[in-house]
Amino acid sequence: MSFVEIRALRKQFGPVTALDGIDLDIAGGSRTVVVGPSGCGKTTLLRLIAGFEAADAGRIAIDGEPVVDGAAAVPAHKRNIGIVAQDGCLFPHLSVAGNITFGMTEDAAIRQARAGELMEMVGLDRSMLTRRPDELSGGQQQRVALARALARKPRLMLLDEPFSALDTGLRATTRKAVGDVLRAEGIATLLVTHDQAEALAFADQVAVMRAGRLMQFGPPREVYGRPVDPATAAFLGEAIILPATIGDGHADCALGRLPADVANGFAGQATIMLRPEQIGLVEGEGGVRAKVAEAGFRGSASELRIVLCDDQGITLTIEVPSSRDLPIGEEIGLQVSGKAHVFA
Amino acid sequence: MTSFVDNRPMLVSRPWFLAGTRGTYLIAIVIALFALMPLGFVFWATAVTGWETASQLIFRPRVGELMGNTLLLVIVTVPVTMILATVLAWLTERSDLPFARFWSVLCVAPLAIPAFVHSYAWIGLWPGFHGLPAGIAISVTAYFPFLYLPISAALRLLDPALEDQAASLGLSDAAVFRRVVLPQLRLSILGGGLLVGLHLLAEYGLYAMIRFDTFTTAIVDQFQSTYNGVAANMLALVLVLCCLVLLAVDAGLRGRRRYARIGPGVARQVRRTSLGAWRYPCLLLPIAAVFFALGVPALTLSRWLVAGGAAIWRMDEIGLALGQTLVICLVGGLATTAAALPIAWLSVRRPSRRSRVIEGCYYLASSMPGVVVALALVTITVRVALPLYQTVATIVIAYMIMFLPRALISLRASIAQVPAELEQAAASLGRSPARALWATTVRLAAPGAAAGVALSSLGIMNELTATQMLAPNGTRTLAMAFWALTSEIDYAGAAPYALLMILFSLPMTALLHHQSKKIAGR
Amino acid sequence: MSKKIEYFSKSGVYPVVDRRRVADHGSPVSVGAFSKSFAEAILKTSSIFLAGAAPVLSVLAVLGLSTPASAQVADSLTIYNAQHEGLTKEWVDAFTEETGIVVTIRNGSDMEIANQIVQEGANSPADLFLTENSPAMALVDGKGLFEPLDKATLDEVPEQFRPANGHWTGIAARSTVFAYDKTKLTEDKLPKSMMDLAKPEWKGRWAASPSGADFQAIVGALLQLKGEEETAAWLKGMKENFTAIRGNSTAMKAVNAGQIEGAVIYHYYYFGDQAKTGENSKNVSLHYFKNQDPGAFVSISGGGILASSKHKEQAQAFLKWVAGKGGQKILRDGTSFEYAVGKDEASNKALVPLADLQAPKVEPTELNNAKVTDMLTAAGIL
Repeated sequence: MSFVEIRALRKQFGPVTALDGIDLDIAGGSRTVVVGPSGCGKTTLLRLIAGFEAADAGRIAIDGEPVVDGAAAVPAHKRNIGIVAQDGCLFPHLSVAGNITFGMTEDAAIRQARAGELMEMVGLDRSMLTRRPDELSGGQQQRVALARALARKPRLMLLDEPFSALDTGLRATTRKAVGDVLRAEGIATLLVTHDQAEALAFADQVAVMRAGRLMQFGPPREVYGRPVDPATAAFLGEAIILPATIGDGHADCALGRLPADVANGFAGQATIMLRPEQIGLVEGEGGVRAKVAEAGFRGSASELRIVLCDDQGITLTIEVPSSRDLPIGEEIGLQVSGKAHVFA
Repeated sequence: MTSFVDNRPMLVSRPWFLAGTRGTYLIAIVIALFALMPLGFVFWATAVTGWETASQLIFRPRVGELMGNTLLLVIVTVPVTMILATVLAWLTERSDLPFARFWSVLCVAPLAIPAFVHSYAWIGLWPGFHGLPAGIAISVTAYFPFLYLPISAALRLLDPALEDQAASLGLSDAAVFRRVVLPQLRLSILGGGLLVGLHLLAEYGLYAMIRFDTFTTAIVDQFQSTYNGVAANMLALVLVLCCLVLLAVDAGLRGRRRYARIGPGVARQVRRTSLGAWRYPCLLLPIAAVFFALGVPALTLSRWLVAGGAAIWRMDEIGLALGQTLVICLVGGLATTAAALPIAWLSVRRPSRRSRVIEGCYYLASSMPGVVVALALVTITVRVALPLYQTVATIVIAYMIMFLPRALISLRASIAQVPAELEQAAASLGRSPARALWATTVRLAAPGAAAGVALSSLGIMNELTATQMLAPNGTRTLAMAFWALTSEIDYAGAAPYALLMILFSLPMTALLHHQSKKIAGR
Repeated sequence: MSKKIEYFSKSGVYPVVDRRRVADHGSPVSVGAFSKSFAEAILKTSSIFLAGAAPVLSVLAVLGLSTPASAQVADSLTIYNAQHEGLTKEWVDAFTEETGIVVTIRNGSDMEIANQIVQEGANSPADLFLTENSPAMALVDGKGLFEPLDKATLDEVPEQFRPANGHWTGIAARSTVFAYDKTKLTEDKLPKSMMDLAKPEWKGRWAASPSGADFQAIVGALLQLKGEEETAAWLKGMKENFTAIRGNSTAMKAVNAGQIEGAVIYHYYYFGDQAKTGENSKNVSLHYFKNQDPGAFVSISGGGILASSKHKEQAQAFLKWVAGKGGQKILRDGTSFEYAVGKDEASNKALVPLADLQAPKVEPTELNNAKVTDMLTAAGIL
């Protein structure tokens, strides 16, 4: 049995359906990421788990104990679920120490000692305990927020886009640091984000949401390489979508005959997907012939828009190492590696 | 070629920029010195009186009695008002109280009723009501909107995510209110409490009418039997010291820190707490508050208006008083706003230690009771500035001293909303500096200035004590006429004046309410 | 876990610039470009302030100058009035109608205005001073600030209602009364003399308005009639017995409402209320002490012309008019219910005739209000 069990969860806000029957299982100690465009309902899902909103229907059980069952719900303050919000949400009227010890019920001395430990755990200096939240940088605020949430030894940690307000470089390091602490503590974690790169990097399991529904759930590689539909494919990264004729475990398309992940011996017309990194250039005259229509220099790589010579209606965008200088109009040969993904 | 011609005056006028800065500071400082005159006067008067006489007049049983009355009044009224206003604000802003918006408007509306009209209304219904209990009850009724307004605005401004966060950390609703909401309301509660405290110290009419003696009523009594006698000045000294103590207590409780809102985000729509079975019982509190603050005045007023009939509408006298009141409100409001302009500008566009000190002077000066301001101006004008004695100019200066912060707050907020870049943009589009300023900031800040005029006018319309002592010969404002008639227990005759004061205060009160909502971003 | 700590420490020192914090502290404007335009802005501000303030100041100047200037208009008078506003207004309206002389009134109370006139000295904008009681007149006269009155004016009033020096004149009179709750007190239970009110049996049963000029005048009469020792003793008893209520009307209202059994006030509050709705006096009856008792004191309201007046002619005309037929007729027929003091002038028919009051003989010019307030203060009443 999974640690968190969500079944047929529904939530309406007036005419808007935020959650349209969500089923989700989270394993103990794992890292699950819910990803989706803004407005897809992922934050609502998180707030229902936290207990900040009441569900219309459905069930949530944590560690076998139901916390939501239709209209009945355990109040937020009795769930023992930690949450780190997008902006840290530190109490402005309290010092860092006051924030971290806020939810602790132990004696003052124990609280102070634990605050110090937690500061070190999240990689902050103990001397910052006396500071005020507005004297901290964004990354530091997020670490304090994590320390505060950890202080109560929660059974589940919810992260609500906690890195999105940080600068790019800081985002990756903070994310890794937070993930490492949570893994070391063995706390099951649910991260909500609209950033697919973050989702794929952080997750053990990725749940893709769209318009209140859970579209796909699985390990990052699986979800990235074998998305359920073209929209999911495009949301998770650049995708080359082509019509193809399927038969005999292969797909015949504008890029030639490619091995495909055909299930159940399917044959006939279908749509396939390739990721740009599957397409490479071949030296000389071989491969599928194409012409460079646009070239954009990106530093280490160049982004090329290319048009197939045989079928001018098909254009692809691929990245090549920028060491190869390909002027516009140059004819090149393309080669596909790996399998094409066939949408069922 | 034109560019060359255009550049020259820029180079030539550079020293003028500095002179402009200094000039603005100079004006601001001169106004600050004017504003501090009453405070200076009280200490000067004490020094002139000499310690022996002064101590005889200060340390006597009567002063002890007044001190006891005043202290009891402040110590009981301020906390009760704080609690009432906080509970009302929470009920109307954060609970599912039926008709919450309706109650929220009604909780602000009593601001349109002058404090002394509240007394008039109460003794109309309960003629024997007097002394400390009456003082406390009527003060709470008259002044809770002063606290309700900032507290409800602050409640709207609070980030509900913080409360969610606290709940996730294991706090029950009550604990969340105590440990997260209340601390963030602290500044509003303290600020409003200070305002109410200062009003309690300064108010005359409310207490005079219900036979409750405070320092202010005693000073007016002394004034009426000795004009600006030594005894009045010494009572004023004690009163000023009370105000200073109140300011110090507030500063001490407030501490140095202001809470910055850390998060960048738009606050989530607040969730209203469900009162459950208490939903309808909780209605009793706003109903009671509104009954006493609006219902009682409405009952008394309509009773007297009906009893008085057509006879009390002596239109020649009422019209004259109304005309004079409106002129004095307009002139006073304009002058007050104009006086607030330099410091408003400096504090927004060049915030510095110096500008903060000057600003502090204005706030300190405005916390002096009207009776002290008037006492100081009477003595100063009759002794050294005789051409100003009993002129509109003097009474307008008194209003400036008393109400400048009202104009300042409105002006500053609206100037701050105009980015300085706009002026630069206008200048880059070829406007001269003065025209650039006119086209951008002045125009955009105009609504704030208008609000400043309106809010100071509201104060002036309902001011009684200083107006009575400083009014030029032949002046009779609505408040003065009302007071004269009630002193002769012609309660019916006074009713039209009260009605007019309320009617003309209503739009300005609505503006105040609107402004507090706008500040709260709704 | 220590491995993680190390990792965190490294990233913890990563230099951070958080845009949000900049935004918290003000608009993100580059300082270099800002200072010059700021200086310009200040220049503009001050010019705008001056431009904005100039009309305001000039309006103030005009209003400021115009107000005292009204005192210099030929046919206009300024009255410092401590009499009841209503009565003075009746006088002024009738006077203006008859003579065309415009009158400006400043209202206040006896001692306030008396002291104000003393402060203003030769610069007083007032032409005339009208009071409710004599002590305020005595104070101003003592400073030599009154202009002697025309003989024609003095002739309007019998000698007992004006000082011998002719510096001011009585214009109306009022009698001390004990206003009592007739539902609680019967005539046989009333005090025989005002002196009785200091006795223990009257503890907690009567009220007065000791901060008012009226009651202070009554105590002044008591002091003149009985001397300092007896007055001090009476005040001591009063402090024990009485309840302070600000204002005579309010005191009567309290009697009517059953809050107190009686109050020492003047007579006309009762008649004024009876003439209107009677709602503040329907349970009240008046008791006149008579017998030359200090409580039968009749106080003289005074009128005088200031030596500094620039309109003495008009002022003399006004006072003669008030003391004469015109003014006294208003006392008889108007709503003030004060006694007329003019020669052969009858008072309002509703009143007990002045001659029947058996008032004690009190010299108005020697009523010493300063001594009275000192004694009231010493007794802990003020």
